[in-house]
Amino acid sequence: MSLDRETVARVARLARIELSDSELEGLVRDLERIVAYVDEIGALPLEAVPPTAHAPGATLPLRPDAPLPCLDREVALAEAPRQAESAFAVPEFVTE
Amino acid sequence: MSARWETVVGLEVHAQLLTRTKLFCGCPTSAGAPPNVQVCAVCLGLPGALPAANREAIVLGVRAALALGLTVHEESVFARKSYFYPDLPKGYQISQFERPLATGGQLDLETSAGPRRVTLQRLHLEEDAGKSVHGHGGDSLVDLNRAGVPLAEIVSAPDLRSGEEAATYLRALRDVLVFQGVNDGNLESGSFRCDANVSVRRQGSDTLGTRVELKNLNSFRFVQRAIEAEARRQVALLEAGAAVDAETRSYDPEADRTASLRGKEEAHDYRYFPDPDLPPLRVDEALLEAARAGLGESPAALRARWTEGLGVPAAAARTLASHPRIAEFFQRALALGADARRAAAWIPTEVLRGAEIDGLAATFRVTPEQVTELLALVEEGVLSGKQAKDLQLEVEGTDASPRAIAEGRGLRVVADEAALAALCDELIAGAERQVAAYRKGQRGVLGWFVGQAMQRTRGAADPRLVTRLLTERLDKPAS
Repeated sequence: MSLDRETVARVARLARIELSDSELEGLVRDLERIVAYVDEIGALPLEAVPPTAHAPGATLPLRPDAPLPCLDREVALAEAPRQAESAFAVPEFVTE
Repeated sequence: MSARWETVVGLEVHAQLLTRTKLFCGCPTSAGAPPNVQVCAVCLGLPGALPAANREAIVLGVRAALALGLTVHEESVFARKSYFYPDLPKGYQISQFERPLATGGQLDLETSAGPRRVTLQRLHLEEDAGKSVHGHGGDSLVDLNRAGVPLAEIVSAPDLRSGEEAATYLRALRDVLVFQGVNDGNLESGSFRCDANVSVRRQGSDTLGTRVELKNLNSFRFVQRAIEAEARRQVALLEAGAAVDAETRSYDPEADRTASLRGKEEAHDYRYFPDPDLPPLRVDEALLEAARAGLGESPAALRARWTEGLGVPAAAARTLASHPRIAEFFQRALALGADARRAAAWIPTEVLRGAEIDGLAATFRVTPEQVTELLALVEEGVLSGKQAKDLQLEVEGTDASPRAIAEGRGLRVVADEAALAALCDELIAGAERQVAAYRKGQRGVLGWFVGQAMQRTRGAADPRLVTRLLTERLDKPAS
């Protein structure tokens, strides 16, 4: 599998990463090498191995439905670039 | 709408599961808190925070699935659904995609066109996003209290054929969830939300048209009207030779029309993949047991039992099975010995008039005990229906016993046959003239005797019993 420029640009757009033309060129080359490396797995005879997203046998641990302490609001908002009226302020994303 | 077109609707419902804490962290889920106080590193999406799944949310999801006849899968997988939105702090939503909690159920509806069975494609678990307030001087304000609240998403097949059917389906679905204590059924507060996928096609066609997604329909009436308005719009487009765009639209109730919500943007590419932080969810026997333990009778089963088994009229059964607390009230009255038909006639009018329903909670001004006594007093002939209504008003908000009040006022039926028989003998012995008149054929005199008996007992005698006792004696030939 090879990666073309459009694919990398599209992935960058989906990830909201702004790239200059030279950055894009560099990333196309880097990603091609990474994908080629992963492609080596494709050469192995793995037909009998099911896709594995997690360590085999692991199951989801469950916790009781009991409240835990929350963050103080001041702490929660502290890292936000902007805040207003006890909320995270962001550029308006829907105009009504 | 033109009879040549058919509307096709599938609904996606998001129902908040009634847990105390969020799906993947211990923050409370209670509504009405000030902004951003029910947040932590996990639901804020801070780096390094790890999700920990809430067992109760799983149990409630499984219970909903079982109540809707879906097959619960022994193993399901939480996946990341990637998209960027300011009210989604992680940049992805934890949902279920390829392997949902449950698939393949059905919901039976009674529509104006007859019974209809709607296929439920799937029920999966996911976390809610935050809440945004727009129009703050060019800003949107984001409150993340809701972010991470557990939701069950229930997806129907495109089996519905009108706005009215869609509203009927939603009511039926809500009833089931509310009866199982899984959801509070509140559309206004957003704990029960609906998106509708609407398309139209020519009558007789079996291919689906291009579908439009209607978002944020927050009342049953709006669901119906929005679907009708959108179907009209699509038909007008197609009849004019234009095409329907696949897009997301919202409904403007004032104008009674839909409007494009997102415009033409790049199609979503959610790039779902299994969340590496969350191994597969295993629904084992213990979880199933916990889900089954709280599984109550469905509203449809209750209605059938009451109408077929107890002779309750269908309309009354619908009202009584419309809310779990009302159903409990009725069942409690039955357990106390109330006559089913009398209680079914009384509760929907006299009890619900003063009731306050708020989500899953309900407050009644009378108790099933009081109503059972009132109905018994009516049945015994002590009280007329009107008197019983008046007496209910007196006991509302108190724990007073209607029977004790009635007895305190001398309102009771003397149904002691021996005592009444002695009274009748005495009346007959002291009224030779009237007895003679009766026996000569003046049957109206019977009324005079009954009147005397009622007078002597100050109205407490059972008039039917007195009439029988007097007739037996007067009809006997003079000895």
